[in-house]
Amino acid sequence: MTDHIINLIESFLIIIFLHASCLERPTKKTVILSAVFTVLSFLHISWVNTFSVYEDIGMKIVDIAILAVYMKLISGASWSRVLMITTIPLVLIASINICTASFFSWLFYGGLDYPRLAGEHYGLMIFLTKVLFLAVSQVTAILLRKKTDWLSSSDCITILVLLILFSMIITFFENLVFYQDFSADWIILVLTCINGSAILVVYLIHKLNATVRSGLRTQHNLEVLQAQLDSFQSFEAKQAQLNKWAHDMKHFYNALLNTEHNEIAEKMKTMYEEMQLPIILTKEPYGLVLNAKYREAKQAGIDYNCSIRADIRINMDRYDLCLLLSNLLDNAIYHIGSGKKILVEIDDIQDYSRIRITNSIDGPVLDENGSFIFSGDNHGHGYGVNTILTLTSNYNGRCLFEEADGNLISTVIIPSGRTV
Amino acid sequence: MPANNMNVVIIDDDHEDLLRVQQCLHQILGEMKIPYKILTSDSFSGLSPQPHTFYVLDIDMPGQDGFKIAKEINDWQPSSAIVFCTNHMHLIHDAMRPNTLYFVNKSNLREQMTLAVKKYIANRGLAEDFQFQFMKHSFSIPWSDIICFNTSGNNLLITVTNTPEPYAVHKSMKSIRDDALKNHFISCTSSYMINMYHIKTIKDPYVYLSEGKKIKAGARAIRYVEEARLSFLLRL
Repeated sequence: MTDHIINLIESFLIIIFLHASCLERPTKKTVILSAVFTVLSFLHISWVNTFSVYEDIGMKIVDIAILAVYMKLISGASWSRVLMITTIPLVLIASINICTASFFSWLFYGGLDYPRLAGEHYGLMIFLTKVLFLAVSQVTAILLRKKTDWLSSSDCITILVLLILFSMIITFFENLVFYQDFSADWIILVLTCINGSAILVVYLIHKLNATVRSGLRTQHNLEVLQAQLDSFQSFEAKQAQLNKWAHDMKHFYNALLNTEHNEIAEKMKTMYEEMQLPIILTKEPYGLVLNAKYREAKQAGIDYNCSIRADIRINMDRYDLCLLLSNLLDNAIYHIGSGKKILVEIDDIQDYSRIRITNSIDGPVLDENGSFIFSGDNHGHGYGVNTILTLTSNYNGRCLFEEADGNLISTVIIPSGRTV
Repeated sequence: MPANNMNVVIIDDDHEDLLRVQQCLHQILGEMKIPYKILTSDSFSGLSPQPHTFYVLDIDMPGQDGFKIAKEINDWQPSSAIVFCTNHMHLIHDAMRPNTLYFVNKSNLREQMTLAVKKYIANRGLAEDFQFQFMKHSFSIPWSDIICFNTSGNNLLITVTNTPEPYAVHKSMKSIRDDALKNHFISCTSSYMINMYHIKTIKDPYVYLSEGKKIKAGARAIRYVEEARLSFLLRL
């Protein structure tokens, strides 16, 4: 009976950990699912313990499968992330058990004597290990929820493999500590696992380092962009007045045409037609980026045209939207072909907002799969394209790069979040 | 069967610009081998909004507001397309109110007008009409006006924009399937083919279409339609 209660508590603690690792607060649905899966996990463990149908690895696999289904249902996260997180409690429980048992055995008896410890201090050990697991798992859950949402699917799989290797190493130590059972095949297996873990840790560090560097670069881009936007805002206010004058000027010279002041009117008309005024989209944050890049493009001798439905509210965070546009336009400006033409189109279509940048190119830049061909000359494309893909994906949007008629056409669609 | 004519109306108070835009459209539509009719005017007064028309409006006309004209056209004939055409980019900011198809800068007229025409054709379609007999009358309806086809018993129901009841005709879904696929239709369920251009939104388990029509589909079909629609929207 006691064992069943302990199993129930353990199942409950694992479910609490899984819930906390993906959701901040429970909802009615998650509470019901948590209760159902706690019972399922408990029944499974109790059934295995009672009837000894399959133990060790078999039991762990089924238990992970049950917990993975639970987590998938409450979080909707990818399977790789779900499996990574559901493996964590098994490693935590085993490592806490082994550490606590070893520590108290050494404290009470000056060496490893698990049977005696279990006989004399079973209740204390159970209580301590569960409390420790609760504390450690909750801290882990918070870290998982807040700090690991950027992990890619392949990162999650790497960590999952690492956790499985850790689990095997811990199982070896469990056998050693609790049953003093170790054999040559186990030692070989564990040493292989340790070597494998070392390789994976190095690989993971290298990969995470690259991700952090890419993140820093994005952060740097954001800071540069903010500086550009700030400096452009004061410039734009002055230009707005100029635009108003230009607009009035057209009406004025039209009134003067075919009168005795026709000559002056013609001069004014010529002046009006030769003016290069900025695009004004003050209501939308992307207007600032469009203008900043408009100036950059003009300085580089690029013919930069826009066709924009200015009422489009793109359902993205201001900085993300600016970063997305700035990357799209940077790619177009820096990798422009000799045609030197850029066309910016922003409109909406069905329940999506659409951004399309068309720029001239001199030769193929995409392979047959639509992916960029990176060479030494256009390596800068890589960072920009990754940022575009990540931002688009973060907002459940889609991105397409196509070549047509000597142009690169980059199209991004983002759900507008409005009902049409 | 001839393809549909493209009806074009150009309104610009500047006579030189009017001729320039007209000439440009003659060239573009001629090269694209699209049969067309062009009407030009220096003002909207005296004209009435026409359906399925490609309007090219100057924004900045003394005494007339291009946006008001566009709004009037939109209100009366939503099937028409509005293309604003102006000299300066700074007027883009006002091109927000009406349902604008495109904004063309006169300094880059040829190139941008070509894009506007291409977009119009992609969106509205100029393919041959869908023809059928209903109540002993012959009907010819642009594919772009058909929201969906569905089977009901031995009949094929054709739901068309601005038509309260679907037309029921003695045709099979199989007989129209290939033509429908060419005109951006997609199978949503075994009995429905929907025009991707008329999808408003997709919220599992429904596909919401123009004019408040909605179709219930299975989870797999919803995913298939959503994927096809995203691909369609990215290339449109």
